[in-house]
Amino acid sequence: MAKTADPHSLLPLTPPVFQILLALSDQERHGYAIMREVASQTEGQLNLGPGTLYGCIKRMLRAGLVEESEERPDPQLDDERRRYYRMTDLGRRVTHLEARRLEAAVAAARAKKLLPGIKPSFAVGRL
Amino acid sequence: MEFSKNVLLRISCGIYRGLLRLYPQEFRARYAKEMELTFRDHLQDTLVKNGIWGVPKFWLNVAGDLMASVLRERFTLKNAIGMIYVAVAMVFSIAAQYVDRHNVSEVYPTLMVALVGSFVVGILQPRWPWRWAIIIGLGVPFFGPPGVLPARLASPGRWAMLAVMMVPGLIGAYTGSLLRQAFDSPENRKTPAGR
Repeated sequence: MAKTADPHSLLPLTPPVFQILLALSDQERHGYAIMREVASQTEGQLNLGPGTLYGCIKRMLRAGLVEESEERPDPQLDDERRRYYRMTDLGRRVTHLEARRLEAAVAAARAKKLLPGIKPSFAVGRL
Repeated sequence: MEFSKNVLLRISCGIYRGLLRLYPQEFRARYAKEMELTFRDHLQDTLVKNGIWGVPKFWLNVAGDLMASVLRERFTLKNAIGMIYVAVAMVFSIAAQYVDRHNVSEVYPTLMVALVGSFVVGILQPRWPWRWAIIIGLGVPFFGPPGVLPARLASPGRWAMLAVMMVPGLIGAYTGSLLRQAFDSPENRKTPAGR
């Protein structure tokens, strides 16, 4: 996949790719930190293995959604073989669009009363 | 207890390092070290949280992830196209055994199939042309209706035929490969040695 400037062409994202991007949205992280953050943000519903994680990272690097970071938070405390990844501007735009897409899907489910107990007014709020 | 955890950690990391060989070389070269580190960190955490009894479940998850991701990395579009070339060679291989079975007293028709088949696949995929000669040749002892297959496999004549077929097979494959090189633009050129 070549690097593209059009974020729409990369949608929809797969759940692991979306969750990895979310994990990288606030700070750069290494592989295991991404795994832990994804497990935490999905409340344990998505546990990525190393194979799935690095397969996704490979494709995300190629698409320009993430990039390798050259800085290390604390080189003294860290294994130098570890690589850190951070989200690119394109990655941020794609994550935003995907979140909006999912928000619209949830809104549709609420409108059809498939999510009982939650007021429909919450469905149209901005991100 | 600490000793058994360390032993388990080392053994598991060793096994996982070996299993990483299942991934394509290119993927391994770039990510194997990181994957091993991630695996080690994850297992260490599991041992701290759940003790050695958490290890079987951990391995079960790793095995599932490994199988799914190896398949995903191996069966890319590029590899699928590669499989099509192998399938074309197999068709010629089946044709070679058919011709061989129906022309017992004549060897030339079978040799002609080997020559033409290897030439065609050599043009389609010029990299490592020798493999096309081998795949097509192997059809003579290895393919055939189930009823006659054991007899063909046991027949020294069929194995001798395979050896003889290597000559036109290699000539055809290398001719096809070199012809393709001659017509390819320099940047698309794949040498017969695959470099």
